[in-house]
Amino acid sequence: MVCFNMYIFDRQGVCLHYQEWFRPKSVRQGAGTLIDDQKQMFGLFWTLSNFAATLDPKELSKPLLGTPRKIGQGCKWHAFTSNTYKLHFLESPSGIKVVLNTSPDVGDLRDVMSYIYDEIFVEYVVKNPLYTRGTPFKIEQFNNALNGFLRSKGLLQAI
Amino acid sequence: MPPGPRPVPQLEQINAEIFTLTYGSIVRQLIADFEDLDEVNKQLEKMGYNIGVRLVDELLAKSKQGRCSSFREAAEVVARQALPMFLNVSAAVTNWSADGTECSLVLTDNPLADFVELPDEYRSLRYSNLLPGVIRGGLEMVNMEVDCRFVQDMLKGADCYELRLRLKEHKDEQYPFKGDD
Repeated sequence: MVCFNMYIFDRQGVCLHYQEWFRPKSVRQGAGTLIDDQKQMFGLFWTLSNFAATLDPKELSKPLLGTPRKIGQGCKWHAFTSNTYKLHFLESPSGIKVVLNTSPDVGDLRDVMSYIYDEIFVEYVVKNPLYTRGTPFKIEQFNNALNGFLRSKGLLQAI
Repeated sequence: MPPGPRPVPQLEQINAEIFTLTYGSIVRQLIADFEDLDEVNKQLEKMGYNIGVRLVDELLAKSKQGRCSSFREAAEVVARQALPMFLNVSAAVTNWSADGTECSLVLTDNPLADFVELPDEYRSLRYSNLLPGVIRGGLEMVNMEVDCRFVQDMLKGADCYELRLRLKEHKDEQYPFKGDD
């Protein structure tokens, strides 16, 4: 069980934090630059969220694909798996999106994602008096807490 | 979401008197710095706004609140979860307008204004103006633009504190990158 990388975005699309543990295929072969890579990620969630809301089988009044989506409408997706990786997603109502790429054999990481948002992001980033909201951050305590937590969950074993 | 009233999460507590006295000294300092009471009111609201935009993440994290589907639900969350959690006061949501875009939050007690007496020359000072700012900031982060102000203030002789909350716009999710290919 391995974590590959993690992104945190805010509502404006600014990538507040990017951390990688294991990324053998370099960014240059993929999107080109890190900024493009982050923009593509953001676009991916955006489209997937719209898509998931449109395809919801339980929703009585489904939004049409392409129309602006009201906040709170539609269901939320939380992960997708491919044969080489699994992408976990958490979006808070305030627009903060946490994305975690891991190996495909991990189970349901929804509690892990909630913990990362509740106890690590809010504690060390939001409550940090020196942090301006909406800008990328580099906070030592956040990184330490995150690594410690993932290690305790067994998610940082080397391949 | 489990049915029934949700328990209010417990947070780290501080002494209420320290809180009240700190707020009181902030207001006194603002009056000394600005002298114009309208300016002080604006500054308090702005400070409240800055607090609100950060506070909302903590509220969402601690109360595990999901997205509110309507303004009504959001007002209930503010009164039933947020105010008790952060200020240890309970509030009631009343006086809904006909189209559901305006309501009143009635508080019987306000820790910001404990021990305070407002002299006559400060009649136009909105002493607790931080609170409407916090609510406005918090709701703006969940894409609801609201206008919040005190309509009844116990410091001015009323028998309760009443905040009037008016929804201006319920914004849609917007794709932030313009013209992206």
